[in-house]
Amino acid sequence: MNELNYQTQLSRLANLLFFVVLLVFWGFFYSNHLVQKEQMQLFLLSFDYLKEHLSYQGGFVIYLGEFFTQFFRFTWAAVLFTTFFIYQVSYASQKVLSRFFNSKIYLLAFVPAMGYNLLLLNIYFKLSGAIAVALSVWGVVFYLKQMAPVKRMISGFILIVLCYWMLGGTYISFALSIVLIELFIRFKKAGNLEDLPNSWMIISGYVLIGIVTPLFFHKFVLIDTLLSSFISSAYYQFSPMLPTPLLLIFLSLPAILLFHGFADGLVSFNNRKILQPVLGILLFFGFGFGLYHLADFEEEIEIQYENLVTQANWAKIINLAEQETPTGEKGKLALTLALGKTEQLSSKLFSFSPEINDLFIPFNIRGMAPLIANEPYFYLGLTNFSKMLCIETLESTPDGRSPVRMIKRYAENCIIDGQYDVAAKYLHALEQTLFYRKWANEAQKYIRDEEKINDHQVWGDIRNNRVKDDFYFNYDQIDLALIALLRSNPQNKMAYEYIMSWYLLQKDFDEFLNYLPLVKTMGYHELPLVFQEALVYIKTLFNEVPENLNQYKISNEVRLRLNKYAKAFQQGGSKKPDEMGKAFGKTYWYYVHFTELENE
Amino acid sequence: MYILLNWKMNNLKLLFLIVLVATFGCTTNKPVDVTQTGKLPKIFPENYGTTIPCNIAPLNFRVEEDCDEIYVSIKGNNSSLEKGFKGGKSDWPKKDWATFLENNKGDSITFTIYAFENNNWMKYKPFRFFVSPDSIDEYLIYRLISPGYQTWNKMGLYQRQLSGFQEKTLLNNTIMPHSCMNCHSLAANNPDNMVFHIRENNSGTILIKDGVVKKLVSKKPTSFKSVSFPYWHPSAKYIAFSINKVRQVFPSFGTERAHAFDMESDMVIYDVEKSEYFTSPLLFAEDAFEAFPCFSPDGKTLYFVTAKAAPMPEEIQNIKYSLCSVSFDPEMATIGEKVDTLISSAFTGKSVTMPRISPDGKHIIVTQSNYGNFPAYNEEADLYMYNLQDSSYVLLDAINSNQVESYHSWSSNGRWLVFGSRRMDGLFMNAYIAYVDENGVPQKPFLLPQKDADFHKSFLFSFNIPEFAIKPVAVSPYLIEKVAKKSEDGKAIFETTH
Repeated sequence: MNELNYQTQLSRLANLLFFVVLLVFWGFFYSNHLVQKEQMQLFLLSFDYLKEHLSYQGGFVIYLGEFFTQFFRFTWAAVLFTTFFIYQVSYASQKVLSRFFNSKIYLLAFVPAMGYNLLLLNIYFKLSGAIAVALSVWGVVFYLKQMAPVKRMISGFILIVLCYWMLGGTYISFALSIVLIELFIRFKKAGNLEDLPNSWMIISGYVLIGIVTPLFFHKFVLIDTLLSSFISSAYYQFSPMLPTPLLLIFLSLPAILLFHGFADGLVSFNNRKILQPVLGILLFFGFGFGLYHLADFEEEIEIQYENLVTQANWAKIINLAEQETPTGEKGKLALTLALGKTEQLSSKLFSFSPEINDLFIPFNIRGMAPLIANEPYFYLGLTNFSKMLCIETLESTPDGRSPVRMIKRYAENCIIDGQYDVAAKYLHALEQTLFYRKWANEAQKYIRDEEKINDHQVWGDIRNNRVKDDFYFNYDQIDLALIALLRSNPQNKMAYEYIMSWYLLQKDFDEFLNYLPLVKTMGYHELPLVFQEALVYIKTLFNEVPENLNQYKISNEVRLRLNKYAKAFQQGGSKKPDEMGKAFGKTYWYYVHFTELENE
Repeated sequence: MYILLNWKMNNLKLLFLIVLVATFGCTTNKPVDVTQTGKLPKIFPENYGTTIPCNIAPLNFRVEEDCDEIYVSIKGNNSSLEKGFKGGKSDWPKKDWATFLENNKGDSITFTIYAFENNNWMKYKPFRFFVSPDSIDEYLIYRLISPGYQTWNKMGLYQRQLSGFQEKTLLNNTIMPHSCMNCHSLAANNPDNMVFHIRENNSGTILIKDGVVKKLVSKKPTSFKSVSFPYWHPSAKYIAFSINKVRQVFPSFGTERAHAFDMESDMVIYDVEKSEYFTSPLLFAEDAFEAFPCFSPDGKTLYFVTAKAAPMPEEIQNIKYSLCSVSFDPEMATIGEKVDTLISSAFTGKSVTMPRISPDGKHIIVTQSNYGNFPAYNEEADLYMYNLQDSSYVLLDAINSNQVESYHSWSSNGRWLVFGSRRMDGLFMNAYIAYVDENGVPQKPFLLPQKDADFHKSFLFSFNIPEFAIKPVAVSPYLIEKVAKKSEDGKAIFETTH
């Protein structure tokens, strides 16, 4: 096999393998991260929105990133677009190297793409960054295509400024790459391009314009931090910071150019035949190692739960939890909400090793309020608190962008509460999107149509369940809010299950017994399992069981199980939580004895 | 081939021309064959009959009828202005508008709107504005912030040119991430002497005195807490501050989304030249909350609101503030010994806050609500005027609405009042400007003009604390940022930078 054929085949194999690995990883292991990116932005298909994005550095590529991200609500689109743009980084890098060094295979060209792919595992890195890096590398390809030195020089100057304004920080990569290319040409190290006239002056000019351009815009055009004036907010959601890995990615293409510029001539074809597969294997395993260690698969599960709540897919949430109990606060919240929505809190809550804060996420003004935080309040009918948490989420995103999911939920709350002018304003924003337009147009029809709202399957129920008492939000006394819900609508079964679950999680037996009589008005066929377990246990705490507690039927199965539990507990089980957990972990008794509350 | 190419080129040119006309073109001829509707057109903002300054930016509006284009004719005694607009929104050229107002100042101008509806030109009943010869200050300084609860993402202080639409950033969260910036105050509408606070990150009070920026770290070595709600003495030698411990509660029901209240509140005066605070037991009583200071234009009286201290938030709906005053000697920097009550909450049964005195010293405008002194979400909050000459106290019907009217301030000539109101939708606070005549009688207000009449449809920020300024703030945002970040919280009391 000659060198060219060998290189072509190796190149095709490496590209195919890389593409497939990306597709499989994003499609099967990390798609929920991508899907949620769509919920975290509000992309408007309007000329004003484009104009606004063209008015600051990196805005163009942010616009592009948001444009493609809006399709991420479809998992397949999220996976395909992400794979495509990451792949473009590697493909364009190969083009640069092959065009300049006249070879077919450059495995190091995969490094920038692999690097940005690893960055994307972190939820704070943006798709726009991948597009920007890809476009800047294509910019280098375009530069190399300009054979005439003057044309190349003009395109160099224009592209540095254009890359800066359109793509942000990756212009550093572009500028350094063309500087190195010109240096190699100058010293005849590589490439078949003609030397620039006054090359030293032009190379210095490239460097100068690369430094001066952001400074000029910082001083006279932008109001931004100096760092962000160089880098832009196209890459990392915390734009005042520059993560070192991102800087390394900006420097990776110039570094690869430098490496090949010096190393290519030193390695013979035979050696390359051995070295390239070895390098390929190293990169492959290195990338795999990076994916495995940098990916946050627990977060992926959390996000999956959050996404399922958006779809109100309660059955799937419960099904997922039955396979593996969620351990994160979002997954747990989604599960209790799903149980609440399907009236199963009273029968299944303690099957999932609950903790005291599983019903609501304690409000924390440090960091971002999770997208899911408002959901239980919304479905319970505590619309004012749902609105509060929607706005807290909107106002605590790291990049200051408005999550469309929160805009939608806020508008729904306003329609339910009759704040129609406010709802109309938020719906107006949604009407300018591609995928929420239809929903927003439909929602507009509900404005000021009380009958239509009352008949709406979700909004009507929530409106009917809303509280009518005025009290203030207090997480530590959320039971008072739940009681107010019951006072407003004594048939609000979800609120009843929440309040009973709250007291059981708090181990507040007095309040549990206080509200137990309402069980008869809630339409249960029998006393729910969790209540039976709690009641049968509480009865053991009395010297003399009050007569009124005997009216509730406890099944034989529960009695027998309690006896077994008591026996095991007395026979040393109290000191063996793991053993007891295996046998009785899904009972309320296990929770009472082995879950310690803060005040205990 | 040549013919085909030529034909294509000609068609392309024609297409380009059609697109150009459709996009930017407008009717230039006054409609002739019109149908009289006999009614006023529905327009937004609804500004019929307002008095406007002779130097205000074009008051663009949207005709809320089902129309494709409009033709607007404005006639004054000395000149007229006519123009057609596509899409039902006016967008007056700034220069034409300014010349027209200048030609017709001190006179009424009549708007006649023609709307092209269902292939017919409809003529609506004309309506009038009055162009006041009293000009308005050239700038308005405000904070833009989302109507949030406890957190915020993007906020900033901005200055807006009132004869046009240019808005300039004074400071924002892009360069000061996670900082809250609020309570800007200017000495006699002059931004050479300005003060505002930064909270959370790089917290402190920023003082601009004669163009020099200082950071006055407001955590005092004594028992003083953070200073807030400043008001300059007319001499620019003193600034009166409240020192509050403000908290919020969030109601479960109804449209009042939050209530802010004082857990504690007292007042101090800062001597700008000596860099010292001083106070009096009358302004620092343990059994009372004193807040929202305001100096009289002669500098000899300090107005403020006060209420008997009560456990909060339990008593939130019962706490009511009265308007009081105490004498002040600017030469000796001494506070009087007797407090006068001007508006007694015991008498009105209501609570007043944010006293702002007119530059001629004749009137004080306050916000009155059912309780408390932060009426941001109290729908019943309205503006009232207290006449210092005859002690009369009247509701300002002409400018109030059934929504919150709150933060208000006077122009330097005392003829214009700017205030915040949530009347548009109940949530977003917008800036409204009203004419007030020499007798203290206000006219119907108009919404701060915007270039795009649809601006408010999609703008998701509130205009907070609007203050008139006679000229632009001369200090760059980067200088303020540098000073704010240079001093570490609680260490440096003063920091100067040129």
